[in-house]
Amino acid sequence: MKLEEIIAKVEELPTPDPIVQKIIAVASDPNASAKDLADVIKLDPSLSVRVLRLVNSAYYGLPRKIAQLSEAVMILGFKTVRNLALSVFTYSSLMRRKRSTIDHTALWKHFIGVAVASELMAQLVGYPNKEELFVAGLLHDIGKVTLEFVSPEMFAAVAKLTKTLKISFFEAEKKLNLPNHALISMKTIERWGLPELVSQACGGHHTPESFSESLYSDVISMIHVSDFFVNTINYGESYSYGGFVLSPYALNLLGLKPRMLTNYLKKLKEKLMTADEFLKIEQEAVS
Amino acid sequence: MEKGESLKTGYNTKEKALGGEVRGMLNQISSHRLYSLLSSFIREIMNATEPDLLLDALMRIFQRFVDCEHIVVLDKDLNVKKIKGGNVEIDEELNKMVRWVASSHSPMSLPKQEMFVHIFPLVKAGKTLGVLLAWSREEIVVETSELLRTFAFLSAVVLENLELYSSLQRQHMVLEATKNYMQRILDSFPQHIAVFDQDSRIVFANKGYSLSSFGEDVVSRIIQLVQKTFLTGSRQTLEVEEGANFYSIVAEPVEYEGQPQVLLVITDVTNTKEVERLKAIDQLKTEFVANISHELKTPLAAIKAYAETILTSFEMFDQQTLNEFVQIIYKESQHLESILEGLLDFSKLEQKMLILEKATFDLTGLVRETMRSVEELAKSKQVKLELLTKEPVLIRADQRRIRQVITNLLSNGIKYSKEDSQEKYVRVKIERKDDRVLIEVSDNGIGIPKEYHEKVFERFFRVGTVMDHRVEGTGLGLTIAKQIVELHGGRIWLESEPGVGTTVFVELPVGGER
Repeated sequence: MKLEEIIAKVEELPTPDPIVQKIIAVASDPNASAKDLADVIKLDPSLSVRVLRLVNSAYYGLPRKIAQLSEAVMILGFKTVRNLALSVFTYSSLMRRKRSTIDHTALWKHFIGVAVASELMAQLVGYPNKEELFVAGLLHDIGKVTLEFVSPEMFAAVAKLTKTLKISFFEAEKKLNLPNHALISMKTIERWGLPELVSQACGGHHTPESFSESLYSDVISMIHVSDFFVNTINYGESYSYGGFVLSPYALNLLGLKPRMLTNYLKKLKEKLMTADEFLKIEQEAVS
Repeated sequence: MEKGESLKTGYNTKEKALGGEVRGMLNQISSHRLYSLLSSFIREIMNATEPDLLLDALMRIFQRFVDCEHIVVLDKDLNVKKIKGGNVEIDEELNKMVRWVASSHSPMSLPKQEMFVHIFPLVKAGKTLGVLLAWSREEIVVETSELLRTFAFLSAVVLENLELYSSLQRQHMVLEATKNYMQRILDSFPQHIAVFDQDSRIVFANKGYSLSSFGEDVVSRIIQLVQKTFLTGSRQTLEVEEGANFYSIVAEPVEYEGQPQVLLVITDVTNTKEVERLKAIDQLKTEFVANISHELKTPLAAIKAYAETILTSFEMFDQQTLNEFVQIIYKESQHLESILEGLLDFSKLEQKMLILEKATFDLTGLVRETMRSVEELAKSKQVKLELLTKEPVLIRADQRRIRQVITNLLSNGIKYSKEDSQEKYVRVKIERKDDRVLIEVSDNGIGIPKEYHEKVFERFFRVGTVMDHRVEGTGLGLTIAKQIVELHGGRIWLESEPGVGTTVFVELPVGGER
């Protein structure tokens, strides 16, 4: 199956929640205010509750409780609140597919792991726009979900191959002559109206070298390195069972030294301990 | 809700007035404004030569974007560093939020009593260098927030560089102070210290060296020594004499920033040399005292022994024996007298108190007479005395003193004859040359090694102290002779070869004949 065919199928995918689309739009509007964003989120009361829960989670560790969404937007920023809304949406759409063959909880854990790792990576390398890194990390493997949605058989074949040969998902796709999931992620995200930075970062996360000309080559490299570390510490499940490769190109581009990475890994483990709230979004929503 | 209503930028009112249809145009104006602000900011941070100026520039740019009533910049320990627009209170809640911003590196707009406190971290690669707080009645829109955040990041990068630069400057100042301190210490050294590079140029010199004024000769020897040290790579030493001063020079290879250099230390050892000389004289004096005591004791012992014998056993001796005894006593007392006279002369000469009594006399006759007086000594050593000059040579001088000189030279010739040699002699030749007279006293005795040719004329010096203890004498003879000759305006010197013989030359002016 070719990328185009899959994309064609992606087109058939239900468009993201209109409220989520609006949230993305408002957060990208240069003239939007905190109230604008809060007003959109408020349109979905369940979303509002879940977003506020995440705002007050240990991951952000704010010194006091935030009760108002507009306040949350001002204090945590537009992008962060947008990310939280997107997280809730992504989680919900993942969990909605109850009859799937894949373990969505484990995959979700991987998504959150890379989101947290990417945001931390931005801090490590001194990249100011760290919220975009969070969302790029969150959605980098969304292509796997798309693939599974379009063809559960193909997904199962890839998953089997990576398990038996101890190779990465990316290599297994190549062996099966399938378009790689990173590119599918990119195509999926483009449809969501997220900034180009996010879609490109996801599209190149397995092949940062081939994106060296991209405007976002540094962001792509950050996602790549973060994904590698989350995989090596077995946080969640990415359906890759080996063959993780850390690109020297990415390390050089970001100026990362071994000692920095050791320090990063230690901080990452600490940070992930505070991210539990992200793993149980649904439970809260049910209540 | 109208989108325009939520705008809180400076164009707020304008937009309201113009209505929704101009939004596209507004964005254009906004980006135009943004670029000019960016340009101003870049210009300002370029010109910031110290952290303070940079923070001023950052505060100004904030004020242009957001209408702020107060701006406060905190340093990395969150202490207030700069305030613009009057003092403001940072309460407990705000303080907590500031800490959160500093640790999470995320900017924040905190609604507070009808106002907003916009808090921006100044972060460089994971390190918080400070926090900026701006109090405003305005809310910030997405774009402004992103921009200000970027400015804060940019400022942090420049700020860190400036702080590094300042600390570098401080280090440089400390280094400079240390250098001056070391220079002062080195300047206080009595030694002349200098460091040379491979082209023999001075790269360091202490005050002692800078102020020194060595002659060309010494300087060229110093340069040679330095070059030799570079060539051999090992420590070199040298002693030089300039005027009345002695210098000890030590050149040592050193390294500076991978380049070989030579450290030169010049010490003035004149005083050390003087001390050494005085010590030598002191040693000679000690030897002299021991010597002279022995010299005095020998005749005294003889006198005492013979006198005692006569006293105790006067009746037991016949006339002839008594006469013999008294003769010995007389002779020995004469010897004693001559030694004491010598000492007296020496002390007079030393104190420049000797006055010459000049008269005209025949030098040949004087020498002949003197030979006769030492004949007995010569016989005892089997030394033949020969006077090669027969004709009289008139000279005006102190006869008694000249006789003293001749006596000394003759007795030296006899005393230092080779013991087991045949045909031992002491020959005297007198020669008139214009207005000067040259007396040559030569022998075929033991001779004097070359290094002592000058020293034998120095006070207390006896080659014998070094070579031969069998010969008696005070060691003052030649010293006195030299001083007498020089007092007459003459010269005395010698030529000698060990084992062959010695010739002493005495040159005297004929003196007041005309």
